[in-house]
Amino acid sequence: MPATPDDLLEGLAAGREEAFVALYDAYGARLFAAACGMLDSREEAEDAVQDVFAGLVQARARLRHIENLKAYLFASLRHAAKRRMGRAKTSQFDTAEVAMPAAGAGPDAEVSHRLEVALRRLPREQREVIALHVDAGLTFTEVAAVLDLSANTAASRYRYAMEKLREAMKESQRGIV
Amino acid sequence: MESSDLPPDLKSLEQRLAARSRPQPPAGLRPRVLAAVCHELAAQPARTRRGGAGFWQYAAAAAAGILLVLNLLMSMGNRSDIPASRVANGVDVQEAAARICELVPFITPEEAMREALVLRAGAHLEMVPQLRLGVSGLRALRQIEEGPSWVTQ
Repeated sequence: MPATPDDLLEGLAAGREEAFVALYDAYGARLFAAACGMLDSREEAEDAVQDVFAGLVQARARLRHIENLKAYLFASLRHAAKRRMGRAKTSQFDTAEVAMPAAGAGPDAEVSHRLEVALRRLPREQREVIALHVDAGLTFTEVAAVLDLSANTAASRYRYAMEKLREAMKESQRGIV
Repeated sequence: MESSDLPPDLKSLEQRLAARSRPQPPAGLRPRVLAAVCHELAAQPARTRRGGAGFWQYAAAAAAGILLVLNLLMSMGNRSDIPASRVANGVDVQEAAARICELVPFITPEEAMREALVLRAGAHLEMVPQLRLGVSGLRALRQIEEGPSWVTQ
């Protein structure tokens, strides 16, 4: 496994398979979580992650010049997700995809389910910023680099998204009560 | 702004978001992605080999360009309306044409130029005898070439 990020980039640029394995092990789960936040189905998210890695191989000659591999990866994921959104016939997320909590799973599971459904109903760009910050663990500076925004704009968009989510959760709570 | 800048209720919502069970990649995704990587890596040398085709495309384009230039040069070489002044020693011809115009006022400049060209061409002619021999003359010429008849007799 490459010792440093520079070794990793060098291995990727040279087309060494073990470098791609190391990259998947380091970022695969976070990429998938972020892709699920950006796209409407798990299948699309899996395809988008695969697109990112295939694209990396094709563009590997340019990888030596990359300064922030993490931002590059998630920006590639965002482009792959956008291409898939463009191809999708429907843009609405099917809330049936969010698994219902098992009977007797407790109040936390119930809240978690409502949270997931509310999240899925947010506009795409708000879901995107939450997926990148919360699910992928990117800082606002990194989110800004991925979305090609200023860090302040990225942070404002996140806050606005969280406010919308809070409202959605309140409405959902009223619906239950 | 970092997450700590959020008001308490949003901060708590953020914590619940982070604590929820995030979608985990299916077990089959890793081998699938790595297989796609291997496939792309194997396909890359094939793309590099296409550079050879690129060379031939370049060579064909260069050859087409050279043919075009040659064709243009040949077309220009075949032009018959080159001004007389561009002919070698054209200055002499123009002077001669001007002199002809002075001497023959009613002649047009084109005609004077033509006459000057003819004169110039005539100046380079070499005088050669024009033989008009009859049958007897040809017989005498042959005898001269073969030498005197008394030598062989």
